[in-house]
Amino acid sequence: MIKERNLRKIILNKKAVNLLTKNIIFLVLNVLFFSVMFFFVARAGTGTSYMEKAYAKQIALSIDSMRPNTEIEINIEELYSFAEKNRLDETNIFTPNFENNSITIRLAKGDGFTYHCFKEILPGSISIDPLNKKLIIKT
Amino acid sequence: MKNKKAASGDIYLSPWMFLVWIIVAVSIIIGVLIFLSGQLDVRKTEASALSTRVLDCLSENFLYYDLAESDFDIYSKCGLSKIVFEEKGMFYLQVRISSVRDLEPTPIKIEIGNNQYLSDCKIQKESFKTFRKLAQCSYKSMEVYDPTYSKNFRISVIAASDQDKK
Repeated sequence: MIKERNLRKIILNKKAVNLLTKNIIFLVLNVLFFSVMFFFVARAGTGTSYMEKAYAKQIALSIDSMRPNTEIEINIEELYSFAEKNRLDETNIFTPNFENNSITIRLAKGDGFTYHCFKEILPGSISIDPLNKKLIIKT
Repeated sequence: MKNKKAASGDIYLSPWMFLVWIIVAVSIIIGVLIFLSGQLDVRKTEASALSTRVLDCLSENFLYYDLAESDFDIYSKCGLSKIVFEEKGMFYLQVRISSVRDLEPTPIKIEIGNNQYLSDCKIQKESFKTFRKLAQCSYKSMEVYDPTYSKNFRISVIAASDQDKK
């Protein structure tokens, strides 16, 4: 027969184990939560949709701000690596639309991000150098 | 006095704790999205680029009577896209050209694009504040000399952009 004293010890131990388990679960959940938040914040500024927007706007602003008879080259290596990572055909990264006077950047499957230029984009004024991974704009 | 809930560990895994986590997560997500969208808002820069472009193109070889002609086309003169201004209505541009000293010859006013943005510009200018929900504007002016009139003219430009405010 178990003595009353031993029985109390066992009950107390059970309580302690229970408390320890809950504390561990709480700590694990905390670590998990803050890890997820950390990765969200770290990746938010380098995500595909953010990069699509950032590049489309930068390129459109460059076109709009260009003075006549100038030529600029924009390094788009980063876009190529994004497309490669997302298994997208490299020819679809940059698409100028002369009818709508807009440019589209696509780094993943989907429509990509389209931005309009106020300056008229003329056919032949924009080309891509796939070897050097550069975008060449002429006015 | 002993706290029974704390002793049992229920204080950690209570529904309130999860609610706190959800509130913290939602706050962080909203904060990050607001910060990133602010970084990608280029409307002010765009409006400034538009006003600079128009001033540059109109001031080059400036002749008042060229601009006063009824068939004067600012789109072709400054290389602007008619589709973006008229059909899409993403931009607004107002140009005023007048003599610096007097009202001779008659001042010229050219207006293209979405003229609803003009009120957005006025609200922000009068309140000395920038409202993200309104179109962003740029005001620029310069003086140019016209040899045929032998006088100085002032070109004043108001440009506004409301393309992708997100």
